[in-house]
Amino acid sequence: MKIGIYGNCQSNGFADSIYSFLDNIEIHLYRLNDAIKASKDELRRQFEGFKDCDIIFYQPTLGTQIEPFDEQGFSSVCDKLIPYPHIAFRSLQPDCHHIKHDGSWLKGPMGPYHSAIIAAGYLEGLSPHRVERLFNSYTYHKLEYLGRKLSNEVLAKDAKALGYNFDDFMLGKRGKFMNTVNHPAINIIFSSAEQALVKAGLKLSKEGCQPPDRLAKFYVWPVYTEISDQFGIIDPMIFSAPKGVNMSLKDMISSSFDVYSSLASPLNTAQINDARNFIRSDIY
Amino acid sequence: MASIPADDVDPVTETPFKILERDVIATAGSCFAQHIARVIQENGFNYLITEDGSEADGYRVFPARFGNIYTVRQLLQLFDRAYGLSEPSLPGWFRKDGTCADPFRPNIVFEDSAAMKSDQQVHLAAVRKMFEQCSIFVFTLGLTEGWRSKETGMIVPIAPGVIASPESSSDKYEFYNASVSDMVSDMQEFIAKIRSVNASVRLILTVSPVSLMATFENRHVLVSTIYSKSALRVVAEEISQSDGRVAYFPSYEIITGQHNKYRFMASDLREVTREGVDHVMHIFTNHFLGGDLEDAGKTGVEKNSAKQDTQSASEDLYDIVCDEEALDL
Repeated sequence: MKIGIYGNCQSNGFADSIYSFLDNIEIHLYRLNDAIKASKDELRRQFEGFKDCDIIFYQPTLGTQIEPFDEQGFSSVCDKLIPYPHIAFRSLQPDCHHIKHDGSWLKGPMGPYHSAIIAAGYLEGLSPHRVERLFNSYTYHKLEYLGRKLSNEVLAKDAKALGYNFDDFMLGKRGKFMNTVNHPAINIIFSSAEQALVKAGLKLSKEGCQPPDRLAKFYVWPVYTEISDQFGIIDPMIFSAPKGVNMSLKDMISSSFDVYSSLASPLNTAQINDARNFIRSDIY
Repeated sequence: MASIPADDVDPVTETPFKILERDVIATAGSCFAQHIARVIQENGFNYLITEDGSEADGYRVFPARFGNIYTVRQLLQLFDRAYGLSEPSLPGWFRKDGTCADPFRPNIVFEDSAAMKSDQQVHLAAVRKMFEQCSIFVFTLGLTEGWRSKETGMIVPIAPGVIASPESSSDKYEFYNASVSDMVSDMQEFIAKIRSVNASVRLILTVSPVSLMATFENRHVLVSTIYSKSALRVVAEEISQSDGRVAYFPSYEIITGQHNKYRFMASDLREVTREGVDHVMHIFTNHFLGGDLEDAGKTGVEKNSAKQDTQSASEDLYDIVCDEEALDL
């Protein structure tokens, strides 16, 4: 049996998981990340690979759609299409966000991911030590990082619309399940793949063994203690970057300050502005 | 009241809530709060300790090692320091023996400033835990008078120079005497803040019946005592009347009421005897214990009555750490 898989960076882990459940299969995997950079010839060649697939798993809610890698295109070459969700979740790491600066994503010690509290503290002239002391439940409450309505999460909406169930994850029963806000951990991708196979009506030929977490090799943002307590998750306050770089909060603040101090124009995101307003109103 | 036996006078009619077995209690306040903390622990309540060590080093007097908190502003400041909203920037004070005292809790001493600063981080983390984990927070309002840094506005619990002194001259601190409106505002701010990290917490306010040992106002200490207690009582009244999750418990009235004819005052006419504290806590227990804790409370009271026979006879005030005792009068 040949299986086609199309999706974003989460699709590698999805394919690995499918392999772990089924024997004697061939997978044709193509990723949005590659499609964005591909030539027309390459896109055509990759799409050819889907034409003889028995089933195609695809993510219908990706932010960027590239023809013909969508429902319409796939339905023209395969009768059995199974959508799977694009997993994004902010409630575990609400301080983690991307900063667009001078037209491109700003790179910091955690690559494209930045802490709104650290950026706001820098902009408000706080010392690194004072910024470090703001990482507590009072700050998180004021910034509405705690008690978020989980049903408003992209993951919850996407899963519900596509008929997937990740309630156990969102209620903290399955441990940490996001490496960053848009990079799920392998445990939830594995669950997604299992549910997708059931939707496809395929009989699982083996129990399935959770494959290695490829996305964990990039950046892993901690679930801050007071937030992890809410979810019943235990997670060390370590910021992990590629090549085994592990930073404490203190290191993360210091390295972020170094990056921000070299910028010619100021940082500006809605999350940073919220954190700046908190600092102005509550810190003395 | 003259026609009723003094022991039968119970000024509490009803309480807005009960303390249940699952409740976790934290206390803070003046030296009288230490009595309350001790008896609450003895009476089978679930008392919260978030920073533990030997009593000789200042632990277990309160849930964390913050010492006496005499003023409302000091309480608010403790919250702000714990959550990084203000910077604990006061340098250490030094005692005659060369050890370093934390100006925010001068009875806690360290080898040097570095050790003090290092301990502050651990201590403030324990304070955060206390605010977040308690379900009942009992605060005893003690004083309106206090001292603050002219430079930073930070409040210290006792005048510099009494227990320990800043390295430079002590004129960097100034005396202040809080008004009712300032204290009501500070207490409201504190309650809003603690609820932001602990939405379901309930508070019990009491006023310490212990008189001032001295006043920095240019007037007799008796006049300052009456102002202080009256103002604190008004603050407790305004807050408890306007907030259904704040109770007022009349420790002050129970001890100082005319019906008791000063029988609960120690020989210095200032401190409260063990018998007085037990009487206060007996009434506290009767009214605040929920059904599931009644047995535990009864046992505790009975246990205390037995202790009382020996301890009250000797007026044993059981190691209350009162910063004011250090005043050289």
